[in-house]
Amino acid sequence: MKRWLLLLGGLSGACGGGPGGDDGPGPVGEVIDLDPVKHLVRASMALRGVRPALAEIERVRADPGALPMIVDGYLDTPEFGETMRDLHNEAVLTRGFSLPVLDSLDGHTTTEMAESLGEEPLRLIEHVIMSDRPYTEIVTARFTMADEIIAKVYGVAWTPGGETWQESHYTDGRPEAGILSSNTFFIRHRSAGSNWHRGRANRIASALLCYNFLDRDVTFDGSVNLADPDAVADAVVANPACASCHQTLDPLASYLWGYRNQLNIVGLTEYPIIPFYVPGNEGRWRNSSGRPPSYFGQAGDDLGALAELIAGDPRFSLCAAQRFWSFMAQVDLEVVPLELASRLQQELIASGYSAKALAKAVVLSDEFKVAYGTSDEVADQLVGLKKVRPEQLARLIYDLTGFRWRTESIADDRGGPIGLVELAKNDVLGYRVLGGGIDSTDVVEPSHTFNATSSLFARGFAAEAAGFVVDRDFAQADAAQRKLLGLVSPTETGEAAVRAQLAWLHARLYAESVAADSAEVDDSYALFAATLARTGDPSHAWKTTHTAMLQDLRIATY
Amino acid sequence: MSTLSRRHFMSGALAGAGLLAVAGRPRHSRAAAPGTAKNVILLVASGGWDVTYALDPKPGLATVDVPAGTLSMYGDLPIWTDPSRPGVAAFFAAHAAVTAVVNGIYVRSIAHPECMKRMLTGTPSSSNPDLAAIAAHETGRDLPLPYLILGNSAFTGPLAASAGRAGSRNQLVTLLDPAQAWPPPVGVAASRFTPDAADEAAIRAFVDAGAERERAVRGAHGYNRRRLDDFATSLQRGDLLRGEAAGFGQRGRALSLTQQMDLAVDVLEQGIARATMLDTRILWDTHDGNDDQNAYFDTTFRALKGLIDDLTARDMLDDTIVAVMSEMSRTPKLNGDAGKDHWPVTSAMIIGGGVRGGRAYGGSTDELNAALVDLATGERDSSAPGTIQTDNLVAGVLTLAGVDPEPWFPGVEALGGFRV
Repeated sequence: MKRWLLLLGGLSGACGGGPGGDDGPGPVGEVIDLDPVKHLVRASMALRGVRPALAEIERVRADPGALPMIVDGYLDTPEFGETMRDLHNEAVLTRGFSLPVLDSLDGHTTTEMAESLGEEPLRLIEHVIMSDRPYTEIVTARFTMADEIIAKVYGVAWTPGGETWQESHYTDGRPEAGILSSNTFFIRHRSAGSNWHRGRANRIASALLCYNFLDRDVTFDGSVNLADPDAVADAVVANPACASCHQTLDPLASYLWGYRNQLNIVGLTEYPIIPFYVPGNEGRWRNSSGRPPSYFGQAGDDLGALAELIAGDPRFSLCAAQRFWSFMAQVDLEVVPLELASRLQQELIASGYSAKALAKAVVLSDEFKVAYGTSDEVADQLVGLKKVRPEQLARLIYDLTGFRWRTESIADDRGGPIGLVELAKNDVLGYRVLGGGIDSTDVVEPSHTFNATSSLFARGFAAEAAGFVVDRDFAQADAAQRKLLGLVSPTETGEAAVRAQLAWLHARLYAESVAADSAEVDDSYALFAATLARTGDPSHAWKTTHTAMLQDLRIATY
Repeated sequence: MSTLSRRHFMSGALAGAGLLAVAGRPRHSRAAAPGTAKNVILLVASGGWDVTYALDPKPGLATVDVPAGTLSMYGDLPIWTDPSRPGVAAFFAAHAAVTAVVNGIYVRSIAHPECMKRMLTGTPSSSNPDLAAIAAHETGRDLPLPYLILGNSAFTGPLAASAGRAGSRNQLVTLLDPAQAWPPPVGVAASRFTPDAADEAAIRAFVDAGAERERAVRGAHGYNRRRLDDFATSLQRGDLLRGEAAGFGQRGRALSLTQQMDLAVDVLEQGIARATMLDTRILWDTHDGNDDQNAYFDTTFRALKGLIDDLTARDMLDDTIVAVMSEMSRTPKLNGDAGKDHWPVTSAMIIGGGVRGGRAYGGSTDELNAALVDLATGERDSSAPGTIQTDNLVAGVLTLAGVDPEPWFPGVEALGGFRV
């Protein structure tokens, strides 16, 4: 489990191997890896947000070499698809986007609207990945994804009685180019008229290439009258201070003139909305920037050509590697080590652009299974504890207990009732941002540490789930149908039986193989026994015990 | 919150985190001298205000389209006012003496997100904390929720453990007060388990023991240790916050500006937070119909007057700094839609304790470009080497708040002059 780490100018180049040679500094500490079972738990949490099955834990305990095959299975689960949507939302930032509820929507709620419209590009990405299409299709796919609401709002086809989300097509003449053809993406990321789609172009570059034009300081030449549109138009072409960015940004923006600048949301009276893409407007760049569409100097006519150019750009695959690592390892995108990202990029390319292969490479990498460092120097930036995201916690708690923390509100929001809300995945009434997640508009970077509100969220969630699962399980006469309390009856309080149940809970909740008389079970039994002695109520004692176990650090991190 | 709970809090995780240096400080030190720690209220006008409506008067110039108005002097402070936006004049009539206006702040970008992070953090990185987060961490990390974010845009970076959001519908209170918890869906039986005090104590002992075991194995060093410190601290902060639930009002309300202000003053006064971030709840991005700014200024300054009145009435103004900012300004000239587009030179207001008010600092040219400024005095100086950058401004406000900006902005000169 030990790997030496040397201080040779960065973690990425220093992991692995043995002690340093004669010409380098000596070892300053060790990197300790997770054991195989904990590595399995981390992989399962990162890919799915749920615990491994007990049988999987036993397989890996018996044969650590079984891990890759188990991971393969995880990549085909719906929970991995959800994770892919979570991951890519940090790039496209469309989750939560919505439009007003109008009469034509037959009573849909605003939450349903947001969970439909905001997910359009994310569902497309998920569909590409889960159907084993090349990852490049997230920009080249010749379809979009639609559910019933999207079909009504955007006027695209959707077949009742089929899958909730179906491949569909815009019929307004736009080129089909994966998420580059998404109404949601371009309505969410609107363009001020005088901006000439530059903001959108930068959003595309940032999301798909990890290249942000705005990272650079903008140096304004005081001799340019920025209030004069003609002077500005001249400057972005001829003035070196301006042209250094605009000579690539503006031609990229020229691909986007087919899209309307923005949708007049306040003035909406009916669905479907007016066609948001107007092929006849594609050439309007001639009357604005005057720069024909091109992609960092490479010519291409339309969105379809742009998609192919992006897909073939090495920055696209490198950015994918950076994003997957950043999301799963919980490090900032900007500090993903280039050597590591390049290695993951090669895995992606060698697999024929399989995002599943990329995700697998991430979770099976040496760097991903670090547990801790043995000195401050080594451990300073070593992310050995990964915090459960709110969306992961929702999946985890549901998988363990069958509980979804929800509320329902008839309060009006954008023309309709808010409706049924899953609190861990919602920002209107819910706790996603309070729990460390993003709202995709104002909070666009997750928090990977704990604060007062994330703690209150986790504790509240634990108590609610504990109340639910204890009542539910004890209402089931058939112990085999219970989620967590299959080894005790509602009135059973004998120490041996309770300890056996607790040992099972440690295995299920924490993937810990502990004996009924272990120190770990001593702690949880002490909690149960003290509560029982105080209240005389076994159900209360189990709820208290579950509340504690479900907010423990072993749930909050992985 | 009792003194006992504070002492218990400090003797726990924070002590382990090496933060005892702030122990024993009064929760709210009145009549603080300049340079001592102060509360910070950061009010953001998102979208880009047109500074010519009040803060940076540009009368009689062909280079700038300005709204109706006249030049009014409040002491040495020139403000553009008009009866159509009486809130502006009323504010300055009442509070100009404690208000410093900083003009000609060069943001170095014209995109909203970029400008926002530059104005609030003084840096081009959203991974860095904003000025309120820094002030909260440096001078209020022993409080239950050092940085309470009631508005939208805020940056916490590595100080995320000290921050928390109330939520768009004040849903934080539903986690603090069981009586305000969201109900289950219609037709779903309530399954809520509400641990009593004895349960909570037992649960805490169990969770603390687990965290300490983990610390002994994986959490002795570096990143893991910091996360475990944050975990332990977050539990205790959550407990303290629960004790202050009444201060957070009712669930379900989308907090208006005045509601944010009321809550902000309450939590600062009660020692719950050291800094708060508020939003005007107005989108100032007037690419068309720039005259909408008239009402925006009126509304905002009315509310702002109420805030300063309230702070004064509660004897808190000397101990509080209110920083009012917008991430950018608007172009000098109207565009074809009678709107104004993005402009990289903007203004800010600094109000409150220790502020040398009643005058403007910095400045802009007749073309609304940033003027050269002596950063030590805040005076315009044609021989000065540069203009006011966002890091100069943020460092200056931090100094006013009693925070040494040097560790956060090494080598950056803090804008001066506006400190008493």
